[in-house]
Amino acid sequence: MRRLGLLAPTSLYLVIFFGVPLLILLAMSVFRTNGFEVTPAFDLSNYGLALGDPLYRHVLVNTVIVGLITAAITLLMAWPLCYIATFVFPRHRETLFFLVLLSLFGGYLVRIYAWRTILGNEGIVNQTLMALGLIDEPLTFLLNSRFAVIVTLANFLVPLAVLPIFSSMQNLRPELLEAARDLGAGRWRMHRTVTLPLTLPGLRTGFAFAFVLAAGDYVTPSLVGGTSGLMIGNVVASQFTLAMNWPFGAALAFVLMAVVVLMYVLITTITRLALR
Amino acid sequence: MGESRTAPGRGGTVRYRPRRRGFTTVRAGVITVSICLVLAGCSSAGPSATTSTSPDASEPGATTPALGGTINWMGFEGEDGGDLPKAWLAENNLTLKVTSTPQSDMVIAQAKLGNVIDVASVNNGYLPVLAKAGLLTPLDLSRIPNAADLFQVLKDVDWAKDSQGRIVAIPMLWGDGPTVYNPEKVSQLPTSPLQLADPEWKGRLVWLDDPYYPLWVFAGALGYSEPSCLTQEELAKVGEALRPAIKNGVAIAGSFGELADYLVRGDADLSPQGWEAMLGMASEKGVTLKYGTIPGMNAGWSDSYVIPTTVANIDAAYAFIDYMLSPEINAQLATNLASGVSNEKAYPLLSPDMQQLYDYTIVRDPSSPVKIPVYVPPTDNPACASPADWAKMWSSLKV
Repeated sequence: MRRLGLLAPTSLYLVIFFGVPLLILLAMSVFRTNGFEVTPAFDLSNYGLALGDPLYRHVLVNTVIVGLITAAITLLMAWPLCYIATFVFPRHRETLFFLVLLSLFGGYLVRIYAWRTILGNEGIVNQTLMALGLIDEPLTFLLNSRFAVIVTLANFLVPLAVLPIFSSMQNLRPELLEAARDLGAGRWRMHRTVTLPLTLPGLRTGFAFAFVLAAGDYVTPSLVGGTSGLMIGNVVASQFTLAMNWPFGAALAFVLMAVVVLMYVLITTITRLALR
Repeated sequence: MGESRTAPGRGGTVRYRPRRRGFTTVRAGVITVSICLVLAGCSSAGPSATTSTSPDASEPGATTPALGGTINWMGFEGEDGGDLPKAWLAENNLTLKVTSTPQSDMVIAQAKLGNVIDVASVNNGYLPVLAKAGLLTPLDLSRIPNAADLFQVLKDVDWAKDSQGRIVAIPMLWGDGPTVYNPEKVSQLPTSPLQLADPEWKGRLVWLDDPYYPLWVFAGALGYSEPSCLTQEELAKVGEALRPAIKNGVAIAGSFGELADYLVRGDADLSPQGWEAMLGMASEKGVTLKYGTIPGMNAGWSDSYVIPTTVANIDAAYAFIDYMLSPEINAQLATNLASGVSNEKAYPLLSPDMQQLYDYTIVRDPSSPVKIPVYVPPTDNPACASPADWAKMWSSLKV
């Protein structure tokens, strides 16, 4: 009972500021809208439109693709980083970990604008390549493209993915790796059969962080996605503002939530089976 | 309130307002959360919590009673006047409770929920929606003496009236929507919006995130006589005409500041939708921009004060509107927000820079080719594609 009491403040906070608004949003998603007027009703047509309309399906698929690619790149950068910090430079791992976290202090928007400066026509990358004579014209695909969205998101998400992976790697005893090598396992087999399975909880959490945040993001595609980088978060935001179709916006938000949960379950199941 | 900005080549200082049209992406998340809080607040308070009074416009000339209490104001950031009305409010024992919104749709939502709003600032495109929903109080102009000094055009605009022809809105500020460009990269503006779809503009444009205006402009350019009332088929045709122009763009920006940023950084050459204050933003970074007009693409905008039917302090609401429309205050408000004044007597009080910022024949001369139209599609005409249809079309252009 006392333990439950300790949970009370957090639970109360979550119920009031997350549960209740979520329920209101759920109720809103079955309301109707006439012009700019929202009318209480029980109408599932918003979900029908969100899932059935080719435009929104296309945007949803695009969102999932961007989320998956971003999460994959994030993990591909975060996992080796954690491995190197833990096993190659064990004495400096805390310093390396701190340096990774330090990049989080820069702020989200600042980082997006920094990437705009780096990837723009007159940015560092293009100017360097032109100065070296490797290109004559700026590479326009660097900014205002899906590439820019993924690069920017991955840069922001790596430190977040590092947190759980680094944590899970601290429980991995070096003797296990040595034993694997002593028993004749090559580097790849050692990672596949020992390191990866034992750090899977951290990888899963890292994936969840990266995928959920990337798929739900709408600021990055707005700022560096160009004229074709629409993601479902942008559509949700526009329904709540420009179109003022709150019920449809709410339905889209729940569809996105369902897709994210589904993808998480799918990916974790696949990885579990693959590493068995 | 806006920051101080200096318009290039003008020497004067103007303060720029946060953008009013289009979509500020960063704020959308805040809005999403606030919706829930608004609804929660509404459901707990119930309709009875809003001391709604439906004032009768047929009782003109009532003597101004002693003021006092609170004025619940809602509208675009800065249009409450900031510090301007402070002394007046104190003299009249009034408190101004300000709720800033990035879009006029929030006013509609709040009024529909029955929440108290005494005075709201609304973009002219949304006024017909509010009026048709019966959310606006017909105004007794005898209680707003300064309204007699409105510019000729602003005195008699359809969007400020309800279906019975009664005045429901007082224009406070206005402006036009020029095309802003980098003169080093653009020697001549297109002669029609349709030319923006030509390959020569590939990778050179930057658009504002606005689901109505670009479609409205292209509908007009394609010859539709009522560009805000399109059938689904017509909307599809307009969308297809606009698509290559959008794809010629490098980005769809969320604010005028961002538009200026794209032009300053050299990532785009021309912003079809612009605002004169962008020149000041660019000059601070050492870049000279110019503004001009693409024929058929320079519609004006206006923001008006209204008294929603959920007003609780109507005497104070009338007095506040009249005070804010007084020549001195209107001139200062317009200067602070880099906008045009609506009170003709405020014009001489403007600095020469501010007088030159806009072409005042737009509001003086009813025959001016630049109008202040309603480009938000109607919500009550089944023959017309709805705002949701337009928003969907706009989304499809961004895929």
